[in-house]
Amino acid sequence: MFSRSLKVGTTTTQRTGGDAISQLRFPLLMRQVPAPPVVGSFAERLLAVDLPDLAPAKRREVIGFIAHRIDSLPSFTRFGVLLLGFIFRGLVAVPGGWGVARILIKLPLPLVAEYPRLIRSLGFAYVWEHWPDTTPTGATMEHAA
Amino acid sequence: MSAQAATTTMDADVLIIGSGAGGATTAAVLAEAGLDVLIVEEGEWVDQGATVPFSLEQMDRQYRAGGVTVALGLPSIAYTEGRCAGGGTEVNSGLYWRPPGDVLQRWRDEFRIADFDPDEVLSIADEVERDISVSTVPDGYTEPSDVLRRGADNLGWRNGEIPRWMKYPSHAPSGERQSMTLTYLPRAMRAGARMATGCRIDRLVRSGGVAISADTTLADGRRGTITFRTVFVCGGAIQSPALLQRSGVRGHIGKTLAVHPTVKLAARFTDELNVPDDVPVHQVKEFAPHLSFGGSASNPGLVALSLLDQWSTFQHAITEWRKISVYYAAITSEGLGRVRSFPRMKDPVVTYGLTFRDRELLRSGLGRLALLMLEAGAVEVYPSFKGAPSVKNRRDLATMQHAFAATKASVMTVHLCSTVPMGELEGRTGANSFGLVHGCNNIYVNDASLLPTAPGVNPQASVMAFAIRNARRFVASGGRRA
Amino acid sequence: MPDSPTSSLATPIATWGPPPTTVVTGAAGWLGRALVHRLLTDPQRAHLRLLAHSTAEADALRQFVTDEGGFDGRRIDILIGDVAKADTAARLMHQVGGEADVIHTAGIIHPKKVRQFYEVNTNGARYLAAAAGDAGVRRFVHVSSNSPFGTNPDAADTFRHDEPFNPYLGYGKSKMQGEMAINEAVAAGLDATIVRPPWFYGPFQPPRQTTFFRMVRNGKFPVIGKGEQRRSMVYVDNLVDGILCAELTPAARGKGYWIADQRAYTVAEIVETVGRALVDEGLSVKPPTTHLPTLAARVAEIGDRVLQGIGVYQQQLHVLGEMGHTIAVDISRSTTEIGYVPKVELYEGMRRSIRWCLDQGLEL
Repeated sequence: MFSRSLKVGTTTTQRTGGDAISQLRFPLLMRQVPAPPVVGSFAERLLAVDLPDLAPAKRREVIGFIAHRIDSLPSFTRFGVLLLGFIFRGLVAVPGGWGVARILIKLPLPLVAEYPRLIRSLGFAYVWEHWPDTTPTGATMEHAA
Repeated sequence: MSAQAATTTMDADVLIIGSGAGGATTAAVLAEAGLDVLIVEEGEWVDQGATVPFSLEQMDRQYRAGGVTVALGLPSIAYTEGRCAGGGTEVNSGLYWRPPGDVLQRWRDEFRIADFDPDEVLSIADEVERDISVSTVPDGYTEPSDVLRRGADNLGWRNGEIPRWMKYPSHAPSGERQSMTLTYLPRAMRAGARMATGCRIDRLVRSGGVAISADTTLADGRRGTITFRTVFVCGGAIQSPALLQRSGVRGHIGKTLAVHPTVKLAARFTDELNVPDDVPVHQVKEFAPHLSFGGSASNPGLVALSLLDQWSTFQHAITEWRKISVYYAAITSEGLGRVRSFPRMKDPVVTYGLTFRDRELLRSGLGRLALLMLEAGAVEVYPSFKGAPSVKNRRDLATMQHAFAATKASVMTVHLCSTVPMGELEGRTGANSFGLVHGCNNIYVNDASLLPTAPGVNPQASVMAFAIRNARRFVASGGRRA
Repeated sequence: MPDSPTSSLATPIATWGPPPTTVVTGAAGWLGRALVHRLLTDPQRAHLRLLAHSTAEADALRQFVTDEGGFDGRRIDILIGDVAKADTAARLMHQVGGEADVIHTAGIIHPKKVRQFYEVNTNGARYLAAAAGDAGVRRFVHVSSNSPFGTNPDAADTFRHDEPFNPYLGYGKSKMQGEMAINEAVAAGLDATIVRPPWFYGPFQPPRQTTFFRMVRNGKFPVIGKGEQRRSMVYVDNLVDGILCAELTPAARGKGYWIADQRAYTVAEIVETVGRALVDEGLSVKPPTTHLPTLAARVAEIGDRVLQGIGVYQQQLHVLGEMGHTIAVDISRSTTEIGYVPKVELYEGMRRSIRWCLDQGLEL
C-alpha cells in the first residue's frame, strides 16, 4: 500500500513524525486517515479524464504524489478535503455516480469546486514539472523543442 | 557552526521561535550583544542551491504543507509560508523594497507607535542593504523581465528594475540569494547563538503575563520542553498569532490579517523566453500603491497551473511553454482576514474577505496587465480565471474584463502581515511599540505580524528593519526579565 | 526609471493652420454649437459644412449662425440628415476633398431604445469615417467618451493615456465599437484622431441640463455615501480647445486623447462648488440633504444593467447607477503631445454656465 517514504523527483521525503503523535492526541474526526484510499480513486478518475494518454506508471507516480501532499495539508484543510474526498469516492463507486460528480465539479459551489481543482493543480504541476514535454492529453511529445 | 537537531530539554535566556526574516535578525542582534540565545525552527536546514527554486521538491521541503495553504473565503486565497531555516527568505523572489516613507508615517500616526522615527528605520534599512548585498543584476536582466519594461515603456507607465539580495559570483543573471541561512543565521551563530531545527512549539506555558516554558514536539515525535527568561515569537503572520492563541494569550491577535491579493495571466510570445528557475526583477509601479505588476515563477509546471482554470480552451498552449511566461497583478486590499486557532487542532483556520472594491481592482489590474502584454508583443494572453477568453487584441480586453470575477480566478498572495499589529492604539494593536505583546511581561513578537498594514511593496525589508529596531531596543533596555 | 512627461512645452508641437473647409456633425447639439461658435471667430475658416439632425434643428442652427454674424464673408452649408443612415455621410462629403477637416460630434447619450446607441454611435462613426476616407480629408476628429473604458476600480485611481477597453453598458459598448470603427478606417488610410471627453458642462446646454442646477438648488442632488467618488469634467470651451488641438496637430494621427479639466473633482466638491456658483450668481441654494447609501447606487446600476439587457434605457436609473463610480482621467499626455491646456475650471465654468442659462431665460 502506501509506504512511509515517497520518491518525489529524485529526493526522498519522510512523513514527519509529528503526524504520528497527532494521531493519539486529536479527536476521532481529525485522526490521520491515510489519503490514498480516499483521494486515490477520485484522483485516478479525474486524471483519466483530463490526461487520458498519460502512461500508467506515470499516473501512479502522480497519484502517489497527490496523496502525499494531501497528507501534509494543515489539519482543517485536510479534514475538509478528506470529507469531500469521501463524498466523491462514494459517488465514484456508485453506477452513474461519476456523472453526478462531474456536475458537482462544474457547479461554482464555493468549497466543493475547490476539491477537484486542488487535485488537478497538484497533478498538473507534477506532470509538467517532471515531464515538460507532455501533450495536453498526457502523451509524451514526439520531439522536444 | 551549524544548526543542531533539537533535544527534549533545552534552556536559554532568550528563546527565539522561528528563523525567518524576523527571527534570524533578532537572533543576530541579541547574540552580538552578548545575550544567551536559542533559535528554534520547526523545519529543516536546507542550503541555498540544494533544491531547484520554485520546484515541487522545494515546496515539499521548505514550505508549510507543501505549499498548499489557503485562506478560506469567496474566493479562497492561496498563500505560501516558508517552513525551514531562514523561513520565507529562502524561497521568495528576493525582491527588495525599502519601507515606503509615507507608509511608515501613516503607521506611526494611525497606530500610535511611540519613539518611532521613520528616518531611523530607513537608516536601519541602509545597514540591511549592505548586510544582505542588495543589488541589481550586473549583466542585464532576463527576457521575461524585459517584457515588463518594454510593455510599460510603450504605454508610458512607470517601471523599474527592483534590486534583490543577491551576490553574482560568476556574473550570471541568476545569482546567489543572500537569504537568512547565508547571512544573519551564520552571523548569529558566530556570535554564540545556538540553533535547533526540527522542533515545533506547541504552546507557551504561562503564569499570568509571564511565559516560563514552551512545550515542544520534535521531528521524530518526541515531546520536549524549553525553559527561558524571554521569548520572541517570530513564526510569521500565520503561526505567531496561532501560537499565542494556543497559549491562551488574549487581545487583538489574529484579527487583522493583511495580504496583497494577486491574479495571474500567462503570455505567449513569438520567441522562446521562459526562464524556469528565476523571477523577473522588473515591476510596474505606475498605479502604485493600489496596483502593481510583476513576473511570477514560470517553470513548465507553473505554466500548466496558470492555464488550468480554463484548460478546456487553453490547453494547447502548454506545448509552447518555452515561449510563455507568467505575470501577476497585485493589489493593496481593503479587506482583512483572520487567523483562528481551535483547541486540539494543530493548524489554525485562516479566512479572508475581499471587498467589492478589491474585486474591481483585481479586474482592472488584470485588464491593464493584459494590455501591457499586448504592447510588449505578446501573441496571445491567457488570463487565469474560469471562463476567460484568450486575448489577442484590444477588443478581447473588453470581453476579458466583462467575463472576470474574482470568484472564478486563482487568487493568491505571498505576503502575509498584520496579525499582531504594533503600536499603542487601544483595541487595534496586539503588541506595543517595540513588539511586547499587550498584557504580557516577556513575550515579544518580532516578525511580519507586527506590520500594522500590508505595506504595498514586498515586505521583507520592512520586517527586517522593524525586527532590528525592536531587538536593539530590547538590548538597550537591559532586556525585560520575567 | 523613465521620467514622466514634464511640462516639456519646450519642444514646440508642430501644427497645421485651419483648413479651408470644416465639416461638423451634430452641429446643433450642445458641443456642436459651442464648436461652431468658436469656428465662427476664425476668418480663415471660410467654408463650414454643418449637419443637423432635423428641420427644426437646422432652422435653430441657421438662426444661431445668423445671430453670430457667421454668414458674413463665409460660405456655410447646413444639411439635414441622420448619421445612422448610410447615405447621410455620402451627402455630407459630397465634393469635399483633401483640404477639409471633419469633426464628428454627433452621437446619442440618452436614447429611448438601446439599439439607438449602436445605430448612431457605432454605425454613424463607421459610415462617416468611410466617406471621409474616400474623400481624402486632411483630418477626421472623432469625439468619443470615457465610457469605452468603464469606470475606475478605486476612488484614487486615474485613467492614463492608454487603457484597456471595459465598456460601461450600452453607451460604452457603442462608443467602443465606434472607436474600433475609426481604428479600422485609420488602418485603411484615414487620418483620424480620437478625443475622449468625460462629463461636460457649460453654455449651450440643452434644457434637460437645467435639472442638474435645480437639484443642487433644492439640496436634492444625489450624493452617494460621502461623495468621495472622483469625477473628471470638462468645461465645454476647454473641450473645444482640445478638439482644435487634436484637429491641428499632424502628429496626433491615429491616437486618442483625454480632454478634461486639469483635475478630477469629488462629487461632494462638485455639489459644493456648483452651490457656491449659484449663490454668487444671485440664486438661493438649500444645503444638500440627499445622501444615499452606496447600496442605492449599486441597486440602480443593477437595474440599469438589467433593463439595458432587454433593450430598455431609463435615464434616471442610469445616472444614479453611474453616480456611485469614479471616472477620473489624466490629461498630461494631451498637454505634452497636442498642447491641450484647460483654461477654465469648475467654479468659473459653472458661473458662466449659470449666467448663460439665465441669459437664455431658462429657469433654474
